Amino acid sequence: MNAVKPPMRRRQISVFASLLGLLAVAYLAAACGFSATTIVGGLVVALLVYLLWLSQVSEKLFPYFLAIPSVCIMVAVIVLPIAYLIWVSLHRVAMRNFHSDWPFVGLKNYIDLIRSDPLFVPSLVRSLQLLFFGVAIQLVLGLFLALLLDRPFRLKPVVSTILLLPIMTNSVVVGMVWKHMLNFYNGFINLVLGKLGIAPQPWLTNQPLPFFKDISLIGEWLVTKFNFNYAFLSIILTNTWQWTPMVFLLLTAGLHSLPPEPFEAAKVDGASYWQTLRYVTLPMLKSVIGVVVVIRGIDIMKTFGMIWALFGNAPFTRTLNVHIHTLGLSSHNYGSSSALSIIVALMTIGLYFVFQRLTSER
Amino acid sequence: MTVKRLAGKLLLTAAILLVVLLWSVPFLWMFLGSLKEADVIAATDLVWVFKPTLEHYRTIFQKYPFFHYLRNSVVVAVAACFLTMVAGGLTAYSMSRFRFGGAPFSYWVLFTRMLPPPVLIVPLFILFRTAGLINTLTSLVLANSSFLLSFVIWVMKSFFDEVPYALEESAMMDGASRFQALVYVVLPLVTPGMITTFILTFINAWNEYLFAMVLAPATAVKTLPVAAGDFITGYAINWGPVFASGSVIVLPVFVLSVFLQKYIVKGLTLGAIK
Repeated sequence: MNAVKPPMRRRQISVFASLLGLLAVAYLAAACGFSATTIVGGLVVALLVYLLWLSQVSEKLFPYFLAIPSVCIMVAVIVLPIAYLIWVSLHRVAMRNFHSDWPFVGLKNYIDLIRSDPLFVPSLVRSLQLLFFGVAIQLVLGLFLALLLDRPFRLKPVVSTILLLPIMTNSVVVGMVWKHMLNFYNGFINLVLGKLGIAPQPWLTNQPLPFFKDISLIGEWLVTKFNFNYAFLSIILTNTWQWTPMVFLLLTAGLHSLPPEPFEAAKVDGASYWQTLRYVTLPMLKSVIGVVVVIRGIDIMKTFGMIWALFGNAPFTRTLNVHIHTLGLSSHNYGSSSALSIIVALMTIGLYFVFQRLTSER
Repeated sequence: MTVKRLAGKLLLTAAILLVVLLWSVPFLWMFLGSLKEADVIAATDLVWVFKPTLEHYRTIFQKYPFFHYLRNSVVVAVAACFLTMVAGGLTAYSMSRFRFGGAPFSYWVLFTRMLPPPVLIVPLFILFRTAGLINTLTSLVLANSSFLLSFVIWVMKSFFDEVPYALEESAMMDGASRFQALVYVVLPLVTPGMITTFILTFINAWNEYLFAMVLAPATAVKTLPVAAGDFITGYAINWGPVFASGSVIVLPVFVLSVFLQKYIVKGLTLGAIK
């Protein structure tokens, strides 16, 4: 007789309970049809049954059982949609034939997008410019903030709270507020500029930027091809206002994680603040800066709500993300929009690996 | 020497004050704007003193069903949070302790975290439309889960990694099952991490705009950000309600940020230092 036999009765109870749960879901589905209430009810019952199961499952299967809910959700809302996205991108799907046949067209959607969509290349350029200028400016300002505030002073908690708020704020709300702040007649920026004796600037238009316009030879080219206009400046400004604090937070955490010995050594050797910064702090901070560039670079590719609130889908401020939305849900050109989505997804992954390579080699 | 130090100190103070001003003015502009009469908002001069009014809040809560939108936002955020916290937390535990899925699965999670949300709107729109889920709160909960789940897995995994495995081993030595070790030993230790993850997930879901705009634009299921966005994407913008609705969206987030700042900062800076 062996004393440690698994308690069979508990296992039987759990099997019975799960069958009961499945029956309940089936009954609910039959009674109310395939509706939202059924789905929520089904989810809750499924979860309870699952937890009961989990408490009984054997050692060997435990890791796999733990992952069941996540895998289910991922299949339903990521794997399936992405597979479907690829499938749609290979077919001609638009408003006109949405309810009839979707002819297979191969890569035609992709080729048409690149060859004959007049807004694809400008949107791509704009996205990449936002990525480049946004990350560069935010990195410099964030580093400045982190070094400026990395010292004891009164009100320090207040300042860090104020800097946390933009990160947590809805980017649509940020866009809304800045849309009013940048207004020509009664926006805060122009009113303050007026007090300083500077003429109001047309922030929300695609007027060329005065300084860059006058650069000989390339000025015209910068303005027409590379978005050196007020609207794009406003986008960068708003994005920088919202996300520089994030860079500041990451770099501050990085600064606090540095070992104290090199700083003490520098102090003993009589290094000035700037020397310590140049030869001790920055070299040691390099890997953190690399991580910050990766995080911000990936994040800035997601920008949507802020541009949407500032300019809607105006063609002169359209980035790839806004273009996906307009192609798919305003023009109902689902095929091309899917092709564009795939391009953006691949581009994001590509950028991640490029960033990784660039920042980890140093 | 002392003059130089004094000048340096003054310069530093000025710089810090400038930082405070730059990052608080837009919020003040919004809060004060929501309390200004329409003609004060439209004034073409800086108005320092004005008679506050609650007219715009009355507009959004009485003329528009903002209480209803508020309820929708809360329901979606809480449901999405609950779903992803349970599912993602358990998976993160499995990844942390048993290396579930190995490198391919972690790359997959990372990949879904990097994906820009607009990429998924077309397939989700068509699939949900076929399933009859457009304009339901369920569709929003599901769509939100897509990106929140990988976020939760990623963050929770690093919190689980911080708990030494020896603790569970000793619990199991004393006769606890794996499940009991997880519930009674590990979970209490990762509670701060769970709070962090919960706040960030909740705020992310609360702020979600794109999916809500595309999948649930009807009045019955509209969320707060979509309702606020509707005020601004029209041709004539009535700024009072815009500011008032913006303030309503931002207020709970502000309260969380002020009181739970420690947790939020921990969660946000998790990836920066290894």
